[in-house]
Amino acid sequence: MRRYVLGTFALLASTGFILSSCGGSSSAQTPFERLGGEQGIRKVVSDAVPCLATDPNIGVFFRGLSADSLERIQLCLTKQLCAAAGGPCTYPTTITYTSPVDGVQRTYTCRPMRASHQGMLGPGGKGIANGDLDSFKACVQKSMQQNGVPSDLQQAVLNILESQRNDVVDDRNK
Amino acid sequence: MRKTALSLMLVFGLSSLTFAEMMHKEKTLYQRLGGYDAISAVVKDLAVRLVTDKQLGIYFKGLSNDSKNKLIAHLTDFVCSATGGPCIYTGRDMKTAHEGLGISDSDWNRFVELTKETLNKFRVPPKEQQEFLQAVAPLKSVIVEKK
Repeated sequence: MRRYVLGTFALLASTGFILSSCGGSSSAQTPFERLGGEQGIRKVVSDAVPCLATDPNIGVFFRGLSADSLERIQLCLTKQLCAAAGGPCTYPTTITYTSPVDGVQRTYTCRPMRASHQGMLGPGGKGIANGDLDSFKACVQKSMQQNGVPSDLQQAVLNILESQRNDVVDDRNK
Repeated sequence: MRKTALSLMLVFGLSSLTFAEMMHKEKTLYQRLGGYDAISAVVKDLAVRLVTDKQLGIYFKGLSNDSKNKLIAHLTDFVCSATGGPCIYTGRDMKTAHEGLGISDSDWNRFVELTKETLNKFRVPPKEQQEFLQAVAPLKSVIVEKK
């Protein structure tokens, strides 16, 4: 594990992504801390966006998001992972964010997964399918790999996403 | 006494003016469209057309039921407010809500077509239809990104 971190450190140094800080054993740290806090999570989320938006299966779900909406959804996913990974966040939550469009501060309520996912149309008119969540997880995993997240930590994040399958996958596909 | 008479004249004068004004003043577009319930029905009808449209539907495929309901509520407030009704729109400004979507001229024209279809369905008279579309027209410049 330590060798892995060291091995990838040089590669990652240029990205500015700081892996779980050098002091302390990883087992004592929460996944949240090991991911680099909210900033580290946000980086993983942001780096997954190009994959998500161009994915042949799930890209369509992101086509109707304006730049402002895309910022919101990334912040909400970050908050959610923060909460589930043992960080100091609650979810659902109301966030205050600076819009990338006009720099104005706005508030937005990050809704529970069920409310924000059920009833989409998607390519087939029946919303999110089981395979769509797999595609989503694959994009997040790819981003974690790019960011040098250790494989056990990757698995922890993927497990969080997997735990939401029932809320995220459309009831019509069950 | 004199002062009282003057005051009375003023009061009557003022109130009759207001009354005359009220009589001649045309109703707001909001009122002529039939008020909140009618506007709500129009927006819902238009929303179904947009979401199921071959060209514009793509923008709505990733909206959950909750998101679609929020959009309809916002749109209803927006139209109510823009037509002189007693609503306050609390959603994002049109530029912020649309930037990044890459909406084209052709998309905008399709939106206008669908709006006309809805207004026709509700038998909105030509004059009110024109006013409605005129109220919407200035938004084109902030919503359309691609020529």
